Formats: sequence, structure tokens, C-alpha cells
Amino acid sequence: MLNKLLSLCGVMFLIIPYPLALADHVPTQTPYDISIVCDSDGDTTKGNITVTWQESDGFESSPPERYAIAFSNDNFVETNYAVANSTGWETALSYKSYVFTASYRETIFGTTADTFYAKVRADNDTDASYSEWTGVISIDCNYGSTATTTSSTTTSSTTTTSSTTTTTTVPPKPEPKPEPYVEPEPLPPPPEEIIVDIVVEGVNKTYTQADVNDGTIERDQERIDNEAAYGCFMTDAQIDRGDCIIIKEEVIDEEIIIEDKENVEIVIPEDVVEVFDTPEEKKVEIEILEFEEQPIEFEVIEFDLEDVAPKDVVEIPIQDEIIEDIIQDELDETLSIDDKITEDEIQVENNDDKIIQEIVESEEEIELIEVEEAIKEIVKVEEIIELKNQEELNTLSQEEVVIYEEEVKAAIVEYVEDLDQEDQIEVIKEVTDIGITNLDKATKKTKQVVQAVVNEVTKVENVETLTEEQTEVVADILGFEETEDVAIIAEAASKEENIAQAVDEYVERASDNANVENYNLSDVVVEIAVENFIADPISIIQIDFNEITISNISSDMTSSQKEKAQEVVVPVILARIATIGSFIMRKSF
Amino acid sequence: MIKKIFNYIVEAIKETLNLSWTLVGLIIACLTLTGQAQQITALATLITLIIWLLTIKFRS
Repeated sequence: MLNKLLSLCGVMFLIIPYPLALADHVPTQTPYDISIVCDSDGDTTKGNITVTWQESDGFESSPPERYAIAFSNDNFVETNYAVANSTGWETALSYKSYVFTASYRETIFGTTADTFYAKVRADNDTDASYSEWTGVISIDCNYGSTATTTSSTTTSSTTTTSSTTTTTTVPPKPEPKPEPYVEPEPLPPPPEEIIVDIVVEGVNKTYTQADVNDGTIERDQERIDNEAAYGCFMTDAQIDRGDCIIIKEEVIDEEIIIEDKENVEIVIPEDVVEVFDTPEEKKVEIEILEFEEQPIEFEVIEFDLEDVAPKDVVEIPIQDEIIEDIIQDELDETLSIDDKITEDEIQVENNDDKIIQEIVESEEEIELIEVEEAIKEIVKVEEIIELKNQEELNTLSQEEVVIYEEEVKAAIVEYVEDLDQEDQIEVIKEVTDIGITNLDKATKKTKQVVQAVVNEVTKVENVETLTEEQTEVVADILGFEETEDVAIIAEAASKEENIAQAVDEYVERASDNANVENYNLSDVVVEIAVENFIADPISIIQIDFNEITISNISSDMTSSQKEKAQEVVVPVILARIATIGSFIMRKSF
Repeated sequence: MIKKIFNYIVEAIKETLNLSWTLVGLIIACLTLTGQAQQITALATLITLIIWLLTIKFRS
């Protein structure tokens, strides 16, 4: 017996906390200990109704983010209003309250004389978790009237229509504990605090007027519809943005009509539409427009050319051939134009070159004529010998012509020798102005005059009497850069036959080598040396040992001659070294 | 004796031919030079060539 009693006690001990355990494990607990009070004493708060409830113990997975307070003046038969406070769960088992002022109730109901009904629910919008409504409490609170009775209505948690009402008279409830969160309700309350009992199928959530105003309901409905259509719990905006991968279908215009099923506990009168949306059926039309690039379809037309084309049309090339032909024609035309332009440009350039060359030649001829006239003014050979014109020369025999030329040459030399040194230098200046190589088109007499002057000024005795300026002029006509070379070449010419011959033939050879760049007396010396070596090889080893001075071995060479020798000797030596090197390499391998 | 002289002449010609390019260079140098430089170059070339040919047996 004792054992049975102990067993029962154990069972009871285990069973009793079970509801509590279940209660602790609901997502959002229903508020405890709801009460209602009417203020009948305060001057400014007279007629205010304060609804008070106790927060949960906190053992819940989705604590309240706010509390919805529904109120009515007919026990939620026809009227159903709701407001929400701004604070959610804060302290376990603490009290929260909400004040309905008399003026507010008068605004809503038109009077304060009606019995005021209220109930509270805890909401967690984040987790879409909502508790059950508390039991309905009521109070009569006319202006200035004190609460006489407080009604407590117990309703089932599932429906408000099949409720069993038991009205009992209870003593006035003591004032609730002081609540720090009670704030005066502004008048009138903002409409977004009003809870509307619109239920979107598939969403376990209670909406407020704010949800209606900001489109939350529409978006939730869109989410439900899109989840059903595409498997994505997203709004239309998210769908349009591409957040959901949708297998595209040929949907051009799709009209989706969303019907909100009526699930309104209380019918709202039409005269308070501005406060509370009527729970009428809503239709949300959503158009999903997908812009897809439509494929371009080409109509294929087949026809027989023989039936269509006239006989004189022999062949119609296909499109590619036409394009190729057009491209080829354009290319050929472009190339031909380019070629033509290039040819024209070359032709123009050639013409320009020819014109420039002709101008230069004409200028040189003019200058040469001027030089010859100037030389004629200086060297007046006619005073010594009677010159014959071409017709008279044609009448002479060849021997007579040779004799005549030698006579003229001797006369020129004689005349030049008698000339003042200044006149000689003046002749050289005239020639230097146009360049000695440009005498190739000059008359033979002019060349002879210039040669006679060069021979005269390069004599050792005459070089010594030359001024610095005159020496520069002589060096210039001989192609020397150093004025000292004039004296050296004069000395060398007096000793060496090759150099004397080179000076004597300088003008003639220079005029013959008009195309050679920087042709000077050193080149003539080498030419003469080679010619004499070919004519007499032994002449190269005709050595006068008395004139050799080792310490002054190259003092009798002009700078131009040294450069010329250097240009030749150094490559020869290098070539010889390379040959020896290659020979040694061949032997070693 | 004549054979030896003949063999030496042949050998000297062969050595001179071996020096063909060198001699060409030296001749060109002599032609481009003037005065003492030309004479010394020519003399040195000639002397060196003679020594070269006289020392064929010695160098071999």
C-alpha cells in the first residue's frame, strides 16, 4: 500500500511539471495574468483604461518582439481592433501595460459608455511565431465612471466563435505592480499599430496596418506564390533580380490572381475603414514580363532560276561570291588607286628631283660662267697670245692643234707667273667658291689657268710669302684641313716626282673625279704612285738613305696623306693578323 | 749544288706566295705613303722579305 502510494506520488511528481515543461517549450508563450483597469480619479487620465499583462518566464525559443492588444466594444462580435506596443520581452515575469484613453475609445467607438473588451498576444515576427490569445477581459469605463465590475472571459485557444462564457463577479482587481514601460498613448494612435487579421495562406503570421501600408502582405503573398511556381520563397522583385534560378518558360503575360482567404474573427463595420482595413477579398495582380530576344526567322524561298530569270541572264552568283567580288573589286580599286597615288607620288618626287637637279646644275653653270668671266678678267691671256676660236681650230691639223695648245699653256703659265700673288689668290678664291671639282664643265683654258695658279702658289718660295689667309685659301683648294700641309706639300713636291706630278695634274684629275667625295691632293698622290709603280715597280724601292731621319719619319707627310695611309694600312694589318690566327687554329685542330 | 739552288728557289717562291696577302698590304701601304714613311716602309718590307727567305731552313 505504501508502495502504491509512493508510486502514485512519484507519478504525480512527474506528471505535474509536464505542462510546465510543455509550456516552456512552446516557441512563444502566451502572456500571463492579463488585467484591465479604468482610471476614474486622475484629472488628465480620467477614463483611461490600462490593460496589463505579465511577461513569460523567458523559457521560450522565440521570445516576444511585441505584444498585440486586441480590443472591442462588443466582445469581438462585430468590431475587432488591435494595437501593438513597441517593446517586446524584456524581463521575466515582469508586467507590461497599454493605456487606452477615453478620447481614443470615443474616436474608435464613438462613445466611452460601451464595455471595453481586450486580449493580448505575444508576437515574434522574425520567427513568424505567435502565441495564443489570452482570455478576453472587459471593463466598463465611461467618462469619469469608476469600474464597477471586471469581466473575465475564457475562450478556447482555437476559436472565438464557439466559446463558453462564464461571467462572474469578482472583487476589484488590485492595482498591478508599477511598470516602467507604460507610456501615454498618443492621440490618436498611429494606424500602423493596428493589427489586422488578414491571413495569407501558407504564412503563420498576424499582420498590422503597417504591414498593409508597406506592402508586407503583398510581398508575403508573392513569396508563397513564387515558392509554388518556382520553388523559391522570394518576392517578385527578387525573382526579377535573378536571385532565383528559374527554368524559363514561354510566359509572356501571366496574370496571377492571389486570393486572400477570409479569416477574420470579427467583422469590421464599413464606417471605420480609414482606421482598419476591411477584411474583404484582395486581389493582387502581378505581371511577370520576361523580355527575351525573339529569334529572327528567315523565310526560305526556293525557286528555279530558269523559270524566273530571263534568258539573257545567264548566271546569278550566290551571295558569298557577290560579296567576294565586291570586296575584290573594292580591294583592286583601292590598290590601283594606291598604286596610282604611289606612282604619281614617285613621279612627282622624280620630277621634283629633276627640277631641283636642273636648277642646281643651272646655278652651277651660271656660277661657273661667272667664275670663268672673273678669271678672264684677271688672267688676260689674249694679251700674250692670239686665241683661236673653234672654227679656226678646225682648220688646223692635229699637230698644229697640239702645238697651239702647248703655246697657249706656256702663255698661261707665263702670264700667271707674272701675276701678283693677290691676283693668283683671287683666282683660287673664285674657284674655291664653286669647288675645284665643279671645273669639269669649264673650258680647257680655264682649267689650265687654274692649274698654273696652283702650281705657282705651291712653290716653296711662294708659299713662304703667303699670308695666313692666303694659305688657308690654298689649303682649301688642295683639300687640306691643315694650313701647314701647304708648306709640306710644297716641300715634298720639290723633292718627290710623284708629288710634283700630282700637284701638276691636280686640277685636271679633280675635275675628272667630280663625283668622288672629298677628293683632294692626297688621292692624286696615291693615283700617281700606283700608276708609277705599275709602270716601274722598282721605283718604289728607290731609297735615298741620306734623307731618312728616324726621329722625324713622318714629318714630310701631310695630315691628309697620313689619314689616307692609315685608312689603308690598318685594315691590311688586321687582315693579316686574322689570317695568321685562322692558320694557327687550323693546325691545332 | 744546282739542284740545291733550284730547290731553294722553289721553296722561296712558295714562301713568297704564302706571303702574298701580306706583301699586297705592304705594297699598298707604300703607295699610300709619301716621303720618308714610304721609303722606310718599302725598305723594311724588302729587308724583312729577304730575311724571311734566307731563314727558310732555319725556321723549318
